[in-house]
Amino acid sequence: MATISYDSQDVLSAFSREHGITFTLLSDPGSKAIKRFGLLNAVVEEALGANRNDPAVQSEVRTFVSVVGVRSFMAGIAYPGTFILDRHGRVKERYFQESYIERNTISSIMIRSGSKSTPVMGTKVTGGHLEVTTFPSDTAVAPGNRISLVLDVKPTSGVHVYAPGATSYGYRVIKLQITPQPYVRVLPLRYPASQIFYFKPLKQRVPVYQKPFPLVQDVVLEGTLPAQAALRGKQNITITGALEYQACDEKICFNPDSIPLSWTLALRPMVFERPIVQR
Amino acid sequence: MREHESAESPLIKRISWFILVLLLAVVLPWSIAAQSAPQLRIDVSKLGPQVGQRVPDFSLKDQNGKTQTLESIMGPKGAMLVFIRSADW
Repeated sequence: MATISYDSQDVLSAFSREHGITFTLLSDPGSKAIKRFGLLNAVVEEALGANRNDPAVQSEVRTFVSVVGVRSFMAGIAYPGTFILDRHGRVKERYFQESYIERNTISSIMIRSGSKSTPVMGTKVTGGHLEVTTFPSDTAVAPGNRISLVLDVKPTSGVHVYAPGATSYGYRVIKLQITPQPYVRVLPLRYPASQIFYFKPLKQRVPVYQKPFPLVQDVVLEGTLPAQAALRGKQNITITGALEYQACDEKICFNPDSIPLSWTLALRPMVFERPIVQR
Repeated sequence: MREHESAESPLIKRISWFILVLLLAVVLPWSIAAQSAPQLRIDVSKLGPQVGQRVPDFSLKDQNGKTQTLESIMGPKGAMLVFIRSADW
């Protein structure tokens, strides 16, 4: 893994020393590589130029550059984003967010690319006819982080729960209801591919999950200035929710059930201090 | 002669009408769509190398002063390349 930024080697050296970073930080002063990748942030250039007072440009600055406005030293920065490359340098996956302040954490990207290994211990919860092991992609989050809550769901033998598409047959699709709270934005739940269950009495072919399956819920801790202000000084944040579902076997359906879940994440403060280098 | 020519070219006329209508059908909705597009002109998903494309090679110094290339940052399965804005501010 490597990062690329327009910072000088001195800045990167101080930054990695101060934060104990062991992975590679590449220095691209002059932004030559950033330009070759086609990732030079053109909004900065435009906002520093003749169109600086154009409201459209100013609105783009808030989304793509900085909520506090543009400064001349920002010229040369890249649009932030992550590429996953194969051994030959071809792009396998790419992650770029609309708002510059929102980023997928590295662990949430690893989970999305199918990595099973996670440094976070899972919590096992048992409900009626299924067992859930859940863990967050990250134990600590900072404003702007986009993280994943993973739920490994294991239906009891002979039992199935309903997958998306089963609503049209009148079944309750398994879903995760996250309790709304300020500064936490909930993205659509990601479902894996389902199997088809043939329900003989009604001759229905219904999408279900019978084998263990993962559900992935991405959430964004907002990075806006009000969010930063509200979260400053807090030690942690707890996200709560409930897994709602109806389990059935080949003959009967059990009562709809709901498993309460919660994830407590440490709040990582944002780093505002500049690395100490001779300037 | 001139009269004769014009009388002889209904097919050409028809073709040019057809082209005009085609242009209107294609260009008009496109220009309307361009006008009603959202204010943000930047689509970050379109920037830089896309899935399946090879990324450009590079030769850059790392934090320890060592020169690194696309090849040298590769692990056995590939690499993760993260563009960050700055470590400085």
